[in-house]
Amino acid sequence: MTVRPIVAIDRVSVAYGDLVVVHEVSLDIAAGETVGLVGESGSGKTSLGKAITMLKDTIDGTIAFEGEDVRALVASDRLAFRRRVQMIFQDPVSSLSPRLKIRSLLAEPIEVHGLPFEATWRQIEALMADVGLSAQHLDKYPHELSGGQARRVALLRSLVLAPRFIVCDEPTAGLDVSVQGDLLNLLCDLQITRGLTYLIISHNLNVIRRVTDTVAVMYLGQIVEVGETATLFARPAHPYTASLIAAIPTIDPDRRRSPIVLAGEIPSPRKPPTGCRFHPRCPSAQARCRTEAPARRDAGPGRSVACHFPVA
Amino acid sequence: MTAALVEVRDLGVAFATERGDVHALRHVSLDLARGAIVGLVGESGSGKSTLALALPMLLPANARVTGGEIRFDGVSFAAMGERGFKELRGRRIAMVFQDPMTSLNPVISIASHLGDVIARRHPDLGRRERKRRAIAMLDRVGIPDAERRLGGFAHEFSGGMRQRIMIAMALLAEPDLLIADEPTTALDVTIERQILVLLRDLRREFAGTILFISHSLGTVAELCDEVIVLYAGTVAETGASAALFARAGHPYMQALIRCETEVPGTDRRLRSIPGDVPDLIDPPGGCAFAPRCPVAVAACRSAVPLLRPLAGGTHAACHVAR
Repeated sequence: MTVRPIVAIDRVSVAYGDLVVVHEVSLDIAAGETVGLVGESGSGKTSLGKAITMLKDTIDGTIAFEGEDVRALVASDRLAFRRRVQMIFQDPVSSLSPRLKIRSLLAEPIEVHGLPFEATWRQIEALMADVGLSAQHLDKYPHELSGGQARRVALLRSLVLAPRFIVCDEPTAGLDVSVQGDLLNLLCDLQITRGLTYLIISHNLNVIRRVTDTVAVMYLGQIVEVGETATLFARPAHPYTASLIAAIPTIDPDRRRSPIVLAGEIPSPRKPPTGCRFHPRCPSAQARCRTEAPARRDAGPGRSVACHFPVA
Repeated sequence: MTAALVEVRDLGVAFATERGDVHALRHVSLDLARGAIVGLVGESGSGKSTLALALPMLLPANARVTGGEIRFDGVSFAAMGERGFKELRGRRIAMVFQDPMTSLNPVISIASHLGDVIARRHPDLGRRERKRRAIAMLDRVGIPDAERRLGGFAHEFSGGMRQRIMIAMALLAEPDLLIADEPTTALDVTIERQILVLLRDLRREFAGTILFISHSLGTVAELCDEVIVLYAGTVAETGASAALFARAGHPYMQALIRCETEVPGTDRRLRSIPGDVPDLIDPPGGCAFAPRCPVAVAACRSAVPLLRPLAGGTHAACHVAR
């Protein structure tokens, strides 16, 4: 028996004007799971994250949250949907209003959602220690916090609404390696204690490899491979996934195989290549790849690949 | 053996702030060998960028040198004078920053940027020869269709292409020292890989020294010959790249390597370094890392450790490491 996914994305497309940045993407996210979404800048990762959280309209396809269409959920009770599905943006310092103290920033969601103030504020105070903040941070402004502390404030603002699902956009971008672990451990603890499901968007494959259960790889608006994290990193099937993994700089000389250096850069979605969108940069492209777009096919348990000639 | 291109001895730099003096660099001694690619690693607040600005004497107005000496090609900064610094900045040192848009003028064409650099280095060259050299260099750093794109402006190029243009400008200056401050940090891993391959290829043609500043241990390990590790404004450890990453002796460097590489077990706990970087307004009396160090002894809190050779082939400023 398969468990119904908490988020079911079915052939979703997202566009800015006539620029289609997410093209017919499908992905299921199981409850309690951490899914990583990786790909180069311009692959459509953040746009897909915004579509799931209904911060950006889709032009095609459906997204279901706990079995219900997100459009219908938002239409019937927008705030109720926002409480269940949250997004934490990268660069938390600039996503927090610079003119409000942390105390006001934490009170804001209580007011917006019309929650009982006293009781909710007591919850916030109880949660502060859990996320590694203390009362002395309440009277500071965002710019007075470190990057890690600002992220904890953004996280706390989400948690007070008791969400079920959080999209984390680049949660460790700009954080020093020595404190990244603390923040990721915190996300992991909260997942267990509060029954959360995460979609973590990141171009940092070192982070994705270590904290996610499943990885989805995006290229130019499409998901080209999905797989269980350890398997996907050990045996990538799509040549794009393989080249992403091989490109990670490593301090371990034994793991430093001669990397596949991808030629060129991700093209504009305004004029995507014919056939497989990756073919102009693909080291194993053949004639068929130029004309026929590969469908994503099952390739083992939890694994699917959109490639005519997978490498594993 | 010829002396190193850059010799830094006991350098101290402080910034005046409202709260008091921030001691960004303290007793820093290091050498940049001629022709080497030297990696400078450290986290936020370690003093990487302060050092990058101190070498061409581009420190901001609220900074002052509190002690020590820098020698460039054998000449002490104390004896150099403003004219000497101009020569240093204009001709002998070139810099590439994390965000190329801060270094490229948005209303000046790429052709003018490159042409200016060539004209300064070779005032005798004619317009046609300058253009020919600019195209050849753009081609060399991997800008496709270089001749046509020469007339373009910075905003018409991707982040990776802008960084290639910055590298082209730096190389056309034919500097003795190229300082690259986090040049690949803002780039995708695929583009970072292309830039690393380019830098490694170029070193055969470029005779100068490269100081490559990065917080990414993997990037430094792959590119650099020598590595200098900064912590809280002091040099924690130095050594040949291979030795340092295989047999780091300083507890800080060991912890940093584990943070970056350790794959968590079933409990999924990732490693971090407990505690915070010390406040550099009032730095700790002994070793700067002692308050966070798992193996610190009494001496670490009272006496500043000096760099000394370790069995693993590196030099570490640590009372405990052997």
